[in-house]
Amino acid sequence: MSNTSENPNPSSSSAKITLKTSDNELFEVEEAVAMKFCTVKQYFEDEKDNDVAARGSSTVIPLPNVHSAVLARLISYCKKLPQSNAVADNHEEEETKKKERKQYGTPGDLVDLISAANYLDFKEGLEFFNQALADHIQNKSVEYVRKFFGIKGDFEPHEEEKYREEYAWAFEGVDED
Amino acid sequence: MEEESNGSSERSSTSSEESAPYFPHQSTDNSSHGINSQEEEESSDDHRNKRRKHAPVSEEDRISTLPDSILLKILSSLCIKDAVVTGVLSKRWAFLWTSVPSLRFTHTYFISSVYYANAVDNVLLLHRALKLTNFSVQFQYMPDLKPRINLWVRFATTAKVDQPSLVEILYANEFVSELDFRLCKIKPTGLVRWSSLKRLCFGYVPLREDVVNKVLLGSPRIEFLKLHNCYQFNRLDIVSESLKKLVIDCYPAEPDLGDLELEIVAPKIESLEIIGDFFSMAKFQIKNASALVEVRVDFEIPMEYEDEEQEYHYKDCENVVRELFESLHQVKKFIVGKWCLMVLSIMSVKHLSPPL
Repeated sequence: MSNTSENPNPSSSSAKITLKTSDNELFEVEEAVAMKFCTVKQYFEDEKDNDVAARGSSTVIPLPNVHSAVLARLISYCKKLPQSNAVADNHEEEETKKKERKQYGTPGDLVDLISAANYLDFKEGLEFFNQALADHIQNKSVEYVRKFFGIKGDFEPHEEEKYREEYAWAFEGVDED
Repeated sequence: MEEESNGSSERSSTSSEESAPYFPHQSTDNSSHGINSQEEEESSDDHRNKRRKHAPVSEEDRISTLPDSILLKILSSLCIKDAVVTGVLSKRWAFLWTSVPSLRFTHTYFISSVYYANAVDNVLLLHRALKLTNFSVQFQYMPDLKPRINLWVRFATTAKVDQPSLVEILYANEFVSELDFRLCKIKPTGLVRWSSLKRLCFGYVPLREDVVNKVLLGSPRIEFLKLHNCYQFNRLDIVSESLKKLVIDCYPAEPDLGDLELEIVAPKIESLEIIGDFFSMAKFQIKNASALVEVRVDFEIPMEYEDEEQEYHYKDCENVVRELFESLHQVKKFIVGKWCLMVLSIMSVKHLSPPL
C-alpha cells in the first residue's frame, strides 16, 4: 500500500524508481507504475543513456511541479487502474464508473490531479480526471457549475442575457440541483 | 486509501508547512529545478490554499486557471450543448467551446427538427477548431432539412473528421476511419468508396443484403462490422478480404418481415459474435467460415406464444440451435450464452444428442 521509501517491502523484486516531489518528499515506486508517467519515463531513459550504471533506485527523478499529496493520490489511482479506459458499453457500467470518479472529491483536488497528470503526461489519469470534472458540468445549470467550481461570472447582466437568448436551446432541460 | 501514503503526514501538518520553505532549497540538486521555479511557486501556492478547506463547494476558482488545452479536452468529453452552456460562465470561458475538436449533437432536448437544425447551424458557423476528431448529429429526419444536412456533411468531411456518425451522403470519403449509422436509411445510389474505413456500425437500420455487399465492396480496409437491430436482410454473404470481426446484435420483431433465415458465408472472418434477441428466427447457419477462431453465441429467440403453441415453437428453436452449433464445431474458442446453454441442456436431458 505504502509507496514511501521507508517501506522496505522485501517481497517485491521489481525495480524501483525514486521520485522527488516539489515539497522534497521521496517516493519509491515500482518501475511499472512510474513508467505510466511519460515524463518520468522520458527522464529515466535519458538518464540511462547518460550513465549506464545509473539504475532504478539510485536515480532520483525530480518532479518540481507535483506536490506529494497529489503524487500519492496519482500513484494510488495508478495501482488500481482499470483494465481499460474504453467507453462503457452499457448504462450500468457507466454508472459504476461515475461513482468511482466521484470519489476524487473537491474541484480543487481534481484540478491538482489534472495539472499533475498533464505535467507527468499520464494519459489514462488525465482522461479519468478530466471526465470526473466533466461530470460536474454535464447537464448542469450555469448556477451549479459556477458554485461548484467557484467561478465568478464577470459578464454584464445584459451580456449574459443576450448569450442565453442566442443559445436558448443549450440552456433547456438541465438537471435540477 | 491514499491517506496512508506519504502525502498524508504532509497534508495534516499545515501549520509547520507554512513556515517551512516549499521548494528543495536545502537539497543538493537544486540546480536541476532552477528553470521551473516560477511554476513551482504557483503550484505551491495552490496546494497551500487547497489544504485550508475541504468543503465540496469551492470559493476559489481553480478550474479557470487550467490552460486552454486541458479545458478543451474536458469540453471534448461533453456534448456540444453542455459545452455551449460553459460559454456564459465567465469571460475566461466565453468562446472556448468554439475550438473544441469534438462536436456531438444529441437530440433529446429538442422539440422540433427545425429548431435542432438551427442549433447545429448556429454552432457550425462559429466553430473554428482546425481539426475535428468527432462529429455526430442525431435528429429526426425531415425532407426539408436535406440541403442543410448536405452542408453539415460537407463541413464534417472537409474538416477531415475521423469519426463522423449518421449522415446521409457520405458514400465517398477517403479520410473517415470509423462510421456509425443509426436510424437512417442506407441507399447508396452510386459506388461506395470508403477507402480508409476500418470500423463500421449500423444501428436500427433497414439493410438489404445487396446494400451490405455494396458497402463491403467499397471498403477495402474494413476490419470490424457491427449490425445492431438491423433488419431486412435474411442472408449475409460476407465477401471481404479484410473483415476480421462481425457482430450481429439483435434482430427486431418486424410484423411484415416473416421468418428470418440467416445464413452467413464468411471465409475470412476470425471473430464472430451473435448476441441479443432474434425474433422469429427460423434458420441460422454459418457457412464456409474456415478462418473462424473465436465465436460468442449469446442470443435468445424470445417466445411470445400462448401455452399450447409454445412447445411447438420451442422445437423450432431447438432446430435453430442444433443447426447453428453443427455449423460451428471446428471453432477453437467458443463462448455460449445462457439461453443457448439452456436449449443444449434440455436437448441432452431429452437424450437427443447435442451437437457439441
